[in-house]
Amino acid sequence: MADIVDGQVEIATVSVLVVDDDAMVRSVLVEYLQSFGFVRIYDVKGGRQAMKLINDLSVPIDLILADWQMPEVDGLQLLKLTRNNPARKDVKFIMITSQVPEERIKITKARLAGVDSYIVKPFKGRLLHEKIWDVLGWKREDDEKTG
Amino acid sequence: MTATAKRIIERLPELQDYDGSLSQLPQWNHRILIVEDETAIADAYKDILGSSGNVTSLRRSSRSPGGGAPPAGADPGASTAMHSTAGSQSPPAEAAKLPTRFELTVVHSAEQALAEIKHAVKQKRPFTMGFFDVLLGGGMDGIELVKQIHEIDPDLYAVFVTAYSDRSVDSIQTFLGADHAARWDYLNKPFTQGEILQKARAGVSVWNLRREKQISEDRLSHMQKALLENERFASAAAVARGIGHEFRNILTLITGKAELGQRAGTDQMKEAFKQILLGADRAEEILQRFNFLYNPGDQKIAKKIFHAHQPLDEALLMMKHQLAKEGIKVCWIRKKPVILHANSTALLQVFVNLLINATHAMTGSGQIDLSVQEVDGQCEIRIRDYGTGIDPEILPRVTEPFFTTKGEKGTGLGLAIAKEIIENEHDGVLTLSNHEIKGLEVIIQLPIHSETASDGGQNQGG
Repeated sequence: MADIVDGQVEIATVSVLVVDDDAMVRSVLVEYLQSFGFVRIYDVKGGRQAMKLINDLSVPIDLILADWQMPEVDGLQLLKLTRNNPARKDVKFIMITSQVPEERIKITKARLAGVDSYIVKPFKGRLLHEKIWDVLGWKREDDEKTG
Repeated sequence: MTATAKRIIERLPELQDYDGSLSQLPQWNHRILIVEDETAIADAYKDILGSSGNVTSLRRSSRSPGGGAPPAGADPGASTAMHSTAGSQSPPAEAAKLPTRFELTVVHSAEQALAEIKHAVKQKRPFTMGFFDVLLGGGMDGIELVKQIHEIDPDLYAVFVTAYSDRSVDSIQTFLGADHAARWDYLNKPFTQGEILQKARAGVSVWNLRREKQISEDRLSHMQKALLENERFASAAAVARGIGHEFRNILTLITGKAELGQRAGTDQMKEAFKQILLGADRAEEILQRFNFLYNPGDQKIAKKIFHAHQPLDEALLMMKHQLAKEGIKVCWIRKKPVILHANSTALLQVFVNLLINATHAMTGSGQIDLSVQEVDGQCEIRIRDYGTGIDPEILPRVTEPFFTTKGEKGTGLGLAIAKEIIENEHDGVLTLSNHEIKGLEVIIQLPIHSETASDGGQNQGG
């Protein structure tokens, strides 16, 4: 990908966990991630499967993209679980929500629980890219252009 | 749910033993009008009914009391004096309701009587009943007077006091009309003390009991309207939220695939994907316009401070007959009172919905356990039934709008509304789980009211 600043090797070693109960959304997320250059992508359809991966420390996870509204274990619960696990507490966490940003209560709740960023559906690849690069502390090509 | 709730609310009893927040009924009214032109008989009324109460007498010559000045010959300010001073003379609290003492107003002519009635209605201090001498000096007799009074104050209960020869019961009935029969009675002169006293007690009681019933019915109808209004609002929010969620997922797919597809393909395909992306943008803008439907925190959700158990008590009261009919026992565990800052009508709605579900989950007989307590700084309300529970496969989906297990009997909105109210209007958590032994347990967690919450609430209003 042309817009990758850090080398191909680095991004290929980053592990991303994608959690969404909607298969369509999951497939779009995975395709975007692949187009950004990510290779290690785990995609699961529910909070329970995600919990298993988070609790299994042999699975490397650097970034979690999770849907907020899922049956049983939702995004907020996953976030709390991640933050409460000493080995996972620094994992970057982006909440994907179909809620509108006006619902401040929810956003505040997620902030308090330590979310790194959130993104509202539907979103464009550019925004997703921006948010991921921001939370991972990577320099974007845009920054160089505008800066 | 709407229809069921409405039916149940309509079937409510008269709320005689209602001890919820709506139970405050006004003090009993003890006002009695005496229309008697003979001084000796007027004095007899005062002796019988006025000995422990207060008496306002109009002199024969006095004119309308409506002008503001106390009528000549009246004990000035007597009615207020009786109630506000004289602690030693005040009857004990439980006697206040018993109509053993009366507030008498004695007049001597039909004109005085009409003026008193008009004044009383205007002051919103109506008379409960009156004793009417049939033969009054002047043009109008007691019966014609009552006919005119009923046009001003149809609730006044009239007792005609008459000699045998004056008017027959049938002639009064004919004159007043058959539909007035419940508003008057008849007593022969000479009367005994007991007759007068008992007619007065009965008349005052009937008037006050009727008023209490009316107030309860009005409150109930008001509550029912508030519930239906609230249900409409919450169901619109739940539906808008559910549809919004689905559509945003679909738009994510459309936007994503079109955008990714744009990078490859022919120019013609690129142009097509561009159009698709523009269409998706417009669809999202339209979705945004519906945000107001589920944007809590506005005036529609007026919050007050109250005890958490109050809306539960009200819900139980509304469901009382239904629960009794189904043979369902209620086990109500109350610990230390927990104070909430919330919308009590909305919570009442939630509890009615949950109690209806619990009732439907059990056939023949059963039990519902309720508890309210503070757990980890939160208000925790548990509602548990002893029914069949919910299939774990579908349990995660039961709070989705239009999801129902009741076939055509359910709208699929009851739990969606409950979730909407608890989680989006009150920042709480609604959890449903099958109890390990039997039945379904619903756990509601709500933030407890604190000083800061109270400040926040006041600021919200401004």
